[in-house]
Amino acid sequence: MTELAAECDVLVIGAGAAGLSAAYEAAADGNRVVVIDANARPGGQYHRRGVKDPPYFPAGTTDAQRWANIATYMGWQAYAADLDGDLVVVRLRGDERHRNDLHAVSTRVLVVATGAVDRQLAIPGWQRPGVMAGGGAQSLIKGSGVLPGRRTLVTGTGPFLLAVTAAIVQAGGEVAAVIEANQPRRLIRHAAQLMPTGLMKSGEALKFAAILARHRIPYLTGHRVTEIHGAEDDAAVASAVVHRVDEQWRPIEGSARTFEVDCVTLGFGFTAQLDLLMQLDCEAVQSADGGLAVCVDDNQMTSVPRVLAAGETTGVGGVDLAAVEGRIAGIQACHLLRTDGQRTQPDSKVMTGLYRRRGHLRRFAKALALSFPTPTAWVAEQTGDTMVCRCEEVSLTTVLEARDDLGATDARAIKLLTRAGMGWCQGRMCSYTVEGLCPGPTSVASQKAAANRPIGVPIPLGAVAKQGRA
Amino acid sequence: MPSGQNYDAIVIGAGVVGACCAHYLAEAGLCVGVVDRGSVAAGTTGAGEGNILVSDKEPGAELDLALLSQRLWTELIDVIGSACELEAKGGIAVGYDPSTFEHLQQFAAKQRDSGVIATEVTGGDLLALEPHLNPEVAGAIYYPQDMQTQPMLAAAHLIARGVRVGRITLHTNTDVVGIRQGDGGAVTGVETARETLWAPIVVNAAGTWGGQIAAMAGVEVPILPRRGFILVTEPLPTTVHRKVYSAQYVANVASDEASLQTAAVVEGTESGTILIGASRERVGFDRTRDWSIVSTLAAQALQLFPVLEKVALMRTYGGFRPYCPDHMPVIGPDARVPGLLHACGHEGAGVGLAAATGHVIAQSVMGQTTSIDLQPFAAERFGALHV
Repeated sequence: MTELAAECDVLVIGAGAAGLSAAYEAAADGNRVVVIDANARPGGQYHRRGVKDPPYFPAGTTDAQRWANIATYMGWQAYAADLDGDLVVVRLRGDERHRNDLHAVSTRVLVVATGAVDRQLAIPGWQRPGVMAGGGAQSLIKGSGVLPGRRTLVTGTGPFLLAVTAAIVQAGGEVAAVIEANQPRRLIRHAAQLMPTGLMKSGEALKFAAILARHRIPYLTGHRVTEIHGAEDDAAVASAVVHRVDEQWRPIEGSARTFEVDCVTLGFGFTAQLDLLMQLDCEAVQSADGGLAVCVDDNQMTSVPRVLAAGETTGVGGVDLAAVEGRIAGIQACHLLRTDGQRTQPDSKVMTGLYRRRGHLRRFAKALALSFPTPTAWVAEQTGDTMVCRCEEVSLTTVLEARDDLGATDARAIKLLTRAGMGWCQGRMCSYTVEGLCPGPTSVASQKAAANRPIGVPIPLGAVAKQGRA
Repeated sequence: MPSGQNYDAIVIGAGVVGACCAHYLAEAGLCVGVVDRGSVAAGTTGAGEGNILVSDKEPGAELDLALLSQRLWTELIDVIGSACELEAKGGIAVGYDPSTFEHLQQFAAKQRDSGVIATEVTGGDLLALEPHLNPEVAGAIYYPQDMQTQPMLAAAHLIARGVRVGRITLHTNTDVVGIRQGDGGAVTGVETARETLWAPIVVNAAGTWGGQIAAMAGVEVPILPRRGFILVTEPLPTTVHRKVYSAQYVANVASDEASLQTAAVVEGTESGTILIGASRERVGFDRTRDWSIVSTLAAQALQLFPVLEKVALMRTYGGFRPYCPDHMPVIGPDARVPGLLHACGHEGAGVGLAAATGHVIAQSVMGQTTSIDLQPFAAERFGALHV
């Protein structure tokens, strides 16, 4: 493994569109910039590269000399971030094959661009082999060239379903149907906000429409997958039942239809990966999609000094917004590192352009989120043996008992009483479901508690113990 | 009659101590309101290991309370069933070298006189009890009376049972903002952010916030937070059979040091995870994590169980033990405020002492002679009369 720097000026966590844009801008003044990412190659979720693909560089980052000065370490997971005086210490673990490799980097400025993961909801049978997150399926295809199944049902909500569908058919897979739970008429309500940026993105939409037409893939709106079946209890997916649903996604009786498939993808939006930012106790808010997002000011600064955030961590908004936020964060990192005498305001023309573009993209993201909401009241009405937490095998009945009979009023209490969210994934899969099952609207405090993972990835005790002696 | 709900008694705090108080008061025939600012078991109860220990206590009033509690917990399992994961697993206090083992032996001899079962174990006998323990340790004391429970479930089920039989009403997410007092300062109820709840008896089982509740009634009860962290591993097949801790733990429990102290406490849980404690430090309500604590706890646990070296650490959690300057809880009626009783300040022994605390609180409310003399636990022992 490459020897990692122990200290740097700017540490960027995440080598996606946001992180790489930030790193490029941050290196402008000759700062020592280090980029860390858990994946094998830079690019992030959107620009994920297979082993044979050319490397990814964000648009406009053309100065090769500047890239040469940026140290990029792939295959490292950042699992903890703590303040240490004027520095931020970020702790890293090697990938699954190098779990004993621990390292700490002290940085003057931290940029967190850790992206988002698929938001999941518990559905009967979702624990079966062959069910996966839409983003997971996309990564499998883009990263390893492996198809998730022979015949796939793409389900959930939002335009991302179309991206997953495109990835599958372009890789030679078959998509039985796209099952969109929301109604397209919702788009009309937010048309004014969607229009300017939507026009820009209309090319992408047309491309998806062409793919659906060419492959004769049915696109069912106002439908939701309600059950996923297999030959026996733990058997792989053999079929999935889809119902027409009302606005709250409750199935309409008599509307069931069955699809014979060996793969089902689920995608109900995304959850920002905020582990490091929550460890640092950054302020957070609920964004338009109902998920938690870190608060940032105009220059991507969080409430904690010298900690910046860009991309999906500040609210899920897609790759173009991530790149703009990354650039602003990188420019701000430079600004923070200049000593008082050298401090000059960044080029106001450039900044105005970036702010304006970010504003457009954020409004578009918000309108999209409002057009494709993810209601959760229906989750509690499913069959009691529906698995809520797959790691700890906690059923819906157990969660509802904790809520209705044992006095649990929030997600943390449900976790303490049922173990939902205590397993291997640390609640990344089930927290949205559990929050949806809590009485009353989800509070930011409860979401922050659920997102607070003191250790981002499991680390061997022996390696932890040695770290203290270093 | 003024508006608001009427109870025979109100318990402030739905942690394990409050739950036990409510349970025994309800068993005595009273209608009890339980008020908590959060959910059930959301404070220190939800941040602990669920220890019911006699092994870490010196002879004296607290050990007597612990022995009573240990008996009562085994009875409570008949009331709430297996839901609370109560396990009479026993504890093992380990002396690494001959001199610490000797200290442990002397400590155990004193405990035996107070009714604690404590057996010296070494060599093959020790490894038979705990097969993966570091074979190089000098010796250990085995305490078969030590038990463990899942305290959140225990608290929730005790309250839920009272609710089911119509004796307990649970008010969660309800902040107490004041104590109502009538003639001569006697309590008449509690003021919550929403309404007034009336009762002639108020039990302060607010744990770390016990001092604030007492202050609302105009009296001082000096309770301070003592921070602790616990590490949790991935689930494993049973590797650690009992609660195993190093001799240093007993010294730390009784220590007055404000600075960080750590001593290995390692135990398995029913779900297969292994819990590793215990750190103690007085830093107020600061939740900031200090990474060196995590590494120190890991290193100390590996000293006891080298076999855990490759086992993954999954998460950590932390909380605040409510402690009094003399490390003794505050239990019983407050002579300064008629109708006010305290049941707080149990430090790290709240789960273990909860059953006996609830039991003697109920005895006291019902005007019976308490099973244990409450004088050593009186709130007035700290001197200051009124805030």
